[in-house]
Amino acid sequence: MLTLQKVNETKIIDELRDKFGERIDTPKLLRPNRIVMTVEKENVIEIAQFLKDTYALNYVASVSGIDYLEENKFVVVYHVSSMSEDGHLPLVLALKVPVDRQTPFMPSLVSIWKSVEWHERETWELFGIEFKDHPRLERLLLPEDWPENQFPLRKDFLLEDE
Amino acid sequence: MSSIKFSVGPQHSGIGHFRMKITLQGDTIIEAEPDPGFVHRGAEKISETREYLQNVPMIERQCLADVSSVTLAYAMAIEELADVEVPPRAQFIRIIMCELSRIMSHLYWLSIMGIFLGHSTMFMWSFGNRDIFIDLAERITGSRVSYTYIIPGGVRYDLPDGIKDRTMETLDYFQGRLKEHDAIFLSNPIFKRRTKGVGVLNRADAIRMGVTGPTLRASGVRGDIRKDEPYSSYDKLDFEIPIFTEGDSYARALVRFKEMEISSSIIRKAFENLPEGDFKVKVRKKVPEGEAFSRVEAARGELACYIISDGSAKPYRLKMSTPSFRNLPGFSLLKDSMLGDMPTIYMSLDYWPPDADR
Amino acid sequence: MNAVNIPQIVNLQQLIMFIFGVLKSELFFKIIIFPGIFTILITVSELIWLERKYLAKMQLRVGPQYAGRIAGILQPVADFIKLLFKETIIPEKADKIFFQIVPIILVTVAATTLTVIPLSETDVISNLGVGLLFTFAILAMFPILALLAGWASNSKYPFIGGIRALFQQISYEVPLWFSALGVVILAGSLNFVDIVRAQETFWFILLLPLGALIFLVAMTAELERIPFDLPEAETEIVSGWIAEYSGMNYALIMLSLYIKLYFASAMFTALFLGGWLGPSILPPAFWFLTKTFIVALVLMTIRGVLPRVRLADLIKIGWERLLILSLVNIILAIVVKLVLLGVY
Repeated sequence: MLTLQKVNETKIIDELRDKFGERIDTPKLLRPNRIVMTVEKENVIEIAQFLKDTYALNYVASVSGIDYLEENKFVVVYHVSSMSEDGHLPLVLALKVPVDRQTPFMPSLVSIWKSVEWHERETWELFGIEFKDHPRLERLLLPEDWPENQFPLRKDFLLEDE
Repeated sequence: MSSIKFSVGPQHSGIGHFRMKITLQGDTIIEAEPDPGFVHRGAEKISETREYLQNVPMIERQCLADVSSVTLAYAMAIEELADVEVPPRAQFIRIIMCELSRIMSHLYWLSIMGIFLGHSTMFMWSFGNRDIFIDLAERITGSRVSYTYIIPGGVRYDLPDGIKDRTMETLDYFQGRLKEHDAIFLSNPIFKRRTKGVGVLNRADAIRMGVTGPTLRASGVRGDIRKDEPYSSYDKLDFEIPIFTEGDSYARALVRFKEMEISSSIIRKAFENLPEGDFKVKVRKKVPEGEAFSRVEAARGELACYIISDGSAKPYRLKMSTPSFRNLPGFSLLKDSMLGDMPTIYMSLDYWPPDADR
Repeated sequence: MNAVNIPQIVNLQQLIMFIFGVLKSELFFKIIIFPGIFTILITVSELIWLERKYLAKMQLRVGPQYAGRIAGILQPVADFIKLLFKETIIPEKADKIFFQIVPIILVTVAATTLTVIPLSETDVISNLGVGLLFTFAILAMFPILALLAGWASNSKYPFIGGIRALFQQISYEVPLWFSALGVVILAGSLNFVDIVRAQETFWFILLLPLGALIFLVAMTAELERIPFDLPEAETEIVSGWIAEYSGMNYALIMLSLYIKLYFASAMFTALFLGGWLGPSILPPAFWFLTKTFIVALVLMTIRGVLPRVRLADLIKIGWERLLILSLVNIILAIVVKLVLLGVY
């Protein structure tokens, strides 16, 4: 039924390795249909564009921030899947972008995937990771009187009962 | 011409805890900006301080109309991390619960859609019908709305005796009533006039904006996780997915309406094929280190759950990517529509504020 | 001192005599008891009860149950008393005089329309020669009052609602007029009693079914009832021009709206359903009220089964369909009149 369903994940991983070499850190298969790979923020736009153009990965399911306090870094994870007229591709590719914890910023991917706009805005608000060239980084979920420089999902933000 | 700015919500009759800042020129909306966050609980933060099982009742409250799918996504992610195979009977019970949830959620939508368009009879009928499903859910799970039934490893209890007959009776009654609903509401000429051609979302835009669920399927995209990446034995049941290509509010309404019938037939088939055996396997309190990304087709669309585990009993990071949040870009449809079409478009997206705010 | 007091006592006696005279007079009875204020209030509260009970039956609910023991028949009274005791909130920025005066004028105006409606040949407060003209003149005040209420509230939703009420009622007044004009042509009078008498052979609904239909539709719009309740659409503009009203003021506005419903049904009965005409076993007023309630039931059924129309369609129906149809109706009325006169 679906032509896209017969995606060969290992082939994608090999192709990505060939194309980008060192610039992609350990693309690996987590389980069938789940690829995880890490790229530096300098290369993320180019690689994202390549993924969209080559594998039709055009549909972002989620953008999550993760705070690795001990390793002193944030990781922004884009879960990208593919959507066509015939439906989802079972493949979900997790594109991880490490971000420095002291000066957290990375380029916004809105220019490539329009749908990440709201997700990035949420990540900006809850983690304080700045997405360069994002059309509008404005308060979204938190109350209007929420103090500046308080980012609830960071690990050093403690809840009262912790 | 001067314009009027006003906010619809958060205390607006009908629209829940949610605000739209609307700029009106004449009777045309020239700018509509959704402003979610009024019911933001910080569920993702709270979840990091609780054990995996304790999180189930907490996260299911983000979408009380559709609790089963939320907990199922969460349970599936944990099962993937813990490498647990869910027994087939539990998988079928999960299907039954998810489809019951879907019917209840769509009935909720239908009633609010009715009252939004000034049709109080539809409002009362749908809520009345939703009640018989709530009774059914109470019979199965012991709780009426937030039942914390689907847990990592299976379901909490086995199905009670005689529930098959009771469910069939309920479905027989419900499917009969659906025809009346269609006659009085969806086939109503005024309803068609109000929804046809209103808030048209074409296929390319729907994919580009990343909308999901019935909103996507009404724009001619066959996107349904139940078929595309079958979970919980959905691949063992035969069912169809309603697709409409018009992309307007009427198509979105029809998708949901058809899904109620299809969900009824899925429940019937699931009961026919219900295997014997365990309904639960044990999942250890501490989940191995790793990450898992699971997704299910909730009533409002694709619901994704991303868990990062550091090997302790609590999740290191839990991310719920909810369908209502992903349908937020759909509010751009309000632009250039008339103020009178605002309730139609708002309701056709089936936005559920706590679902988006978490 | 005494010299001053005596004429006062005489005056008081005269006053008492005068008051007794007024109380005993037929006009007073008509205004206060039947078919005046008392009857109107009872009928309207029963209309409210009927609407709630009837809609409840339609929607598989029970409806009011307890107040008044029998099927909650006193529920509207209970609601009214509850609203009496509620705090009346006046928005800070509202125009306080107009804001408070509008509900009172609304009730007065709505009740005034009923003075010319005959419950029977004699049970009419004021048998005006131009009764129909009078009712339309009074009806024309409602949109202005709605706009005034919306404007005086000094709030955005009421203002939008007020403007909607204004153009909706003005655009539907024209077909309403024209459809009533057909009746006037057939009856040859603007007097309600004459109009009813003219229906002794045929009720006008049989002669002018199109006119009756147009009248009903235009009247629904005039009453701001579903499917034409755009000025009060809860989910679009909260409650439209009523949004800022609370407590007693709100109760008065709702009262005026239901008096209007009663008046509209009564007018339809008088114009098309032969007013009080019916078998003489029961008093004429009984037949009149029964027919009025049946018309109200039709309006309630419409409310139960139809959603609200779109704003663009509202204007279209008013100016493009109803207006043309009502002109056709006038021509039909002339033809019917000629046939009845035996010209053909």
